[in-house]
Amino acid sequence: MELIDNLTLGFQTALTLQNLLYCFTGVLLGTLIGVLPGLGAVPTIAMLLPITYALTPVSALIMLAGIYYGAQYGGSTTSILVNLPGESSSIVTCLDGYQMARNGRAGAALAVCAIGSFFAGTIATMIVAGFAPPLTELAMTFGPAEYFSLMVLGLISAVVLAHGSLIKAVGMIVLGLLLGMVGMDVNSGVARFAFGITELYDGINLVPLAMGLFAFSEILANLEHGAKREVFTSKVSGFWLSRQEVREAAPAIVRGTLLGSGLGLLPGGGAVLGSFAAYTVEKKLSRTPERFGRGAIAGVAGPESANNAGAMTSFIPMLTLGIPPNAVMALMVGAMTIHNIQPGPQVMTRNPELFWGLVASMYIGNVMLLILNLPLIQIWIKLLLVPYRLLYPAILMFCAIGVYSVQNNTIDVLLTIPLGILGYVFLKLGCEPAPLMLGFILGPMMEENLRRTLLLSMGDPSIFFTRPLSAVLLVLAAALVVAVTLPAISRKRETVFVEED
Amino acid sequence: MSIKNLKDFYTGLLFMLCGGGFMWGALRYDLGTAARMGAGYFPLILGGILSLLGVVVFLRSLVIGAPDSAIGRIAIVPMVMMFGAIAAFAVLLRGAGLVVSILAIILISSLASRESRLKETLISAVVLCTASVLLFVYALNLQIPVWPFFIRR
Repeated sequence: MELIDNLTLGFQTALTLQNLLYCFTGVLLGTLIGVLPGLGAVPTIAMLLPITYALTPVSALIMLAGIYYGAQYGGSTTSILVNLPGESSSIVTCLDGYQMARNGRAGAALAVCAIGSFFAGTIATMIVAGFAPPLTELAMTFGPAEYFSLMVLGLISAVVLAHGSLIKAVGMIVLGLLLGMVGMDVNSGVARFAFGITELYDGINLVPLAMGLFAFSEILANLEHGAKREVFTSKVSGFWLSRQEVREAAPAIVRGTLLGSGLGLLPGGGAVLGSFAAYTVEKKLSRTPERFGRGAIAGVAGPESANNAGAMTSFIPMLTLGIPPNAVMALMVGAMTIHNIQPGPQVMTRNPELFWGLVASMYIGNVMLLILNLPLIQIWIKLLLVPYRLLYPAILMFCAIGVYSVQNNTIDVLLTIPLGILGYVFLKLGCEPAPLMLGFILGPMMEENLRRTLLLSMGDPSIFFTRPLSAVLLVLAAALVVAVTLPAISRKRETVFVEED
Repeated sequence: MSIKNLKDFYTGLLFMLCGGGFMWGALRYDLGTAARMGAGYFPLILGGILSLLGVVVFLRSLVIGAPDSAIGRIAIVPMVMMFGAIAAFAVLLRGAGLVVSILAIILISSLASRESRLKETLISAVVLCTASVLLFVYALNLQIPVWPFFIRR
């Protein structure tokens, strides 16, 4: 049994004292930032990237991954107790979770989140372990033409699945691709779009970009709205579910897990999409849909399982194909490149302990999260009482130190200012920054693969359609674009994401 | 003629500006041919696509409206304080060290919110200073000067 051998290797790697410690640090930090509204996984991972220089690649990835799925756990706590999503993936949890808390069932809501997430994490870990090897074998047969087409498909589906204006999202991707061009061109040695600034010859650094676009604009937006919070101060107790609640929650957890796992696999997927889809499904399937929005436990169980499952399976495209499906995975690719690991199908064969260690750590991380979240809930509640006026200067400070420590370079810190202003402009104009991040990471890879393809075909672009696999991928991308522009589907798309605004 | 969607109007302009800028820049590099691409080839194509998208978004904003197309208030004061705080941190760090830089970034950025109170901010600044020095300098061993240059050994 190869799978068992692999998993054994994985657990051997993940269960070393050092890796257990980093896994714990990751999920603890993840829960922390998940609980705190206004600080998401993207800026946190960006902030910690420089610190991972000193670690082994396995430990670094284990910790960063823990932050991502830990944040999904923590985000639900804030949703339930404060009616304010700690993470964008727990927006729908507010709808019924907060109502449950008002009905005196806060404990049950928190418990069902933890159990649902744990179940989802367990299943999703198995899916990652089972799905990744065959996908890797497929990816091994890919040439540059297939890679280019795959990236096109990935980018297109990322915007199709995102909410908001399709054409603006495509524009943001292209802008991201262009920003990825800044710096030394590997083939000709020309420093492109660097304006003679030596620090830009290596390209725009990922960390200041993520900080500027995600962290700073978020703080400005919160200051503008005046982040008002009302913490549910009554003591949280009664974690045990009633028999009726178990009967309603159990099938929702299973459905949410499957749905979330499936959607997490798609490019552009991840935690957010799964939670919205699961809520819609639960409401449709329920015999008492009128209870949704008034504290239906299925409305908490489904989405919370789905977002955790989605967060975990979204590692598959990144690990097997080297193509990040969302902004967090884009940062993970950045983390791997820091350690000189080229993400892609060769990771599994060249660094098996990295791949399987990461998979095993996800399972261990989920056990830790279960322990962290239920008994320690009172501590997280206390944390919610810290007012935003004290929180945001601290966030800013950690960001500044984080950016500086990437290359011990104050230019990078100054670079966050124009990027932060750009992020604020995007926020004001309703342009999502996540597609830009994807484009930014994929830009150089896309150019390289396009170059290689056309070099092999002597400049004939029809090669993209004569190679069958590449043609299939491009046709899929085109079909997706056509599909979302059809009026019936575009209306549906709006209703799915309507709660997000 | 009136603008129906202000957000898209400016987005269109922004895309056109960026796309055009990158195209203009790309033309100054070697373009090469499709089979042997130069440094300017791919950016030129992308710049063209972005400008085109910009034109579409721009024209659409003149025809189709949207319910939430207003830009809203622009947070000038918070923005100036926040980015000023970051600039101060960046400028001070090398010479004045981590402690002074942290005090600067916390105090200046606290001015971005009207709810901030000086006493509270000062306490949190001291706590954060201590925590950061312990965490970043002693625990994580990052190469950051702690004290101003004149009292460094």
